Amino acid sequence: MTLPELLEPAVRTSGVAGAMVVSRDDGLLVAGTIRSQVNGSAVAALASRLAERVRVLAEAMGRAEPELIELWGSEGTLLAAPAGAGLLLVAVVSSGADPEPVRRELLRLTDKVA
Amino acid sequence: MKLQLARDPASLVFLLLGEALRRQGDLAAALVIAESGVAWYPEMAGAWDLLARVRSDQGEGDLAFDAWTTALRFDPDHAGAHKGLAFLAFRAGELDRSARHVRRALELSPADPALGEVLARVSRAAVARAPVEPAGSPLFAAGVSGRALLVDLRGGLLDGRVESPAGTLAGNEIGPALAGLSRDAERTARLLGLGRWRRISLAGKPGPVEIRGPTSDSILMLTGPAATEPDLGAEADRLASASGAWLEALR
Repeated sequence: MTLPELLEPAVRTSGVAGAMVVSRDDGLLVAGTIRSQVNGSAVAALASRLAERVRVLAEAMGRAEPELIELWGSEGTLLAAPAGAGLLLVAVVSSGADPEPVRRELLRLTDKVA
Repeated sequence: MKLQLARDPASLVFLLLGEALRRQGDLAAALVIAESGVAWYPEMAGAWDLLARVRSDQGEGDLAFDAWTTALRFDPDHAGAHKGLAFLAFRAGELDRSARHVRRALELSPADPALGEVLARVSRAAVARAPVEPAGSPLFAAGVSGRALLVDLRGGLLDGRVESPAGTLAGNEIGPALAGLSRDAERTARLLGLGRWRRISLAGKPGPVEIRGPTSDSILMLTGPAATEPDLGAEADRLASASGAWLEALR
């Protein structure tokens, strides 16, 4: 199964504006399905940077890296789940949508993608 | 060196030229050279180290912290970056973190004569200081001592403390790390059209973490006491509100 095929269930989730696999080291978009209003490259770069910040924070706290990162804004939510092999699963959810289904989907996919 | 760099902008002589300008006190020129070096060699720890030293000399501790942290990302054994971070931490009063970086720098550069004395100084200062709970602290009043932290946008401690899962007081580097995360959260939300960031939620072991911005210049972090804590978000919202009111009253 290809990465876009793996991501398809997440993308079909209600309220999801895009779901993608990102390379953590360089913030590049590896694969994804993205609706027109979302800039996939920008999401990839910013999400990987954010994940790195979270990793540094977790390390400072003596904790393991979180399984899921959620950045809630007034107009939408960014979700990121570190996967193995230096990859990051990312989804952008529109404001007002329930992030729980895509949250579950990302966590389910982390093992498969790695 | 300037001529050499003009002829070949990709020349590594920028490292020597930038450092020479910095030592001469020509920080504006040194900054131009350092930024150009980072642009040419974005994965070279030495280039980031040079940029960090210039930023530090300019009094831009946050930017210096970012640059030295980036240097360590590309080379975790870069002694200069550890030394720089030790200096920043010491200047900020974060003595545990400073000592850790000095020790690492000493391991990497055992021949550096200044490092041993620096470590002794940091250790003496650390022994002389103990954590205190500020009067009227909303975090103390809420009974979340040990799992909540309130910092300013530079990472300076305003209230609270966080213990590691092992029960020991977590290091002082949490504040700057939290401030860095807040900066990137703000930038990410703005550039992606997510509006103003309202909360950051982290799920994982040993428990969840919630982050809020009680005021425009503060960051609150609350850690969950258990692996599953469904009400942690609501508790963080309440604490953010109380902390915001407390900070406003102090102004």
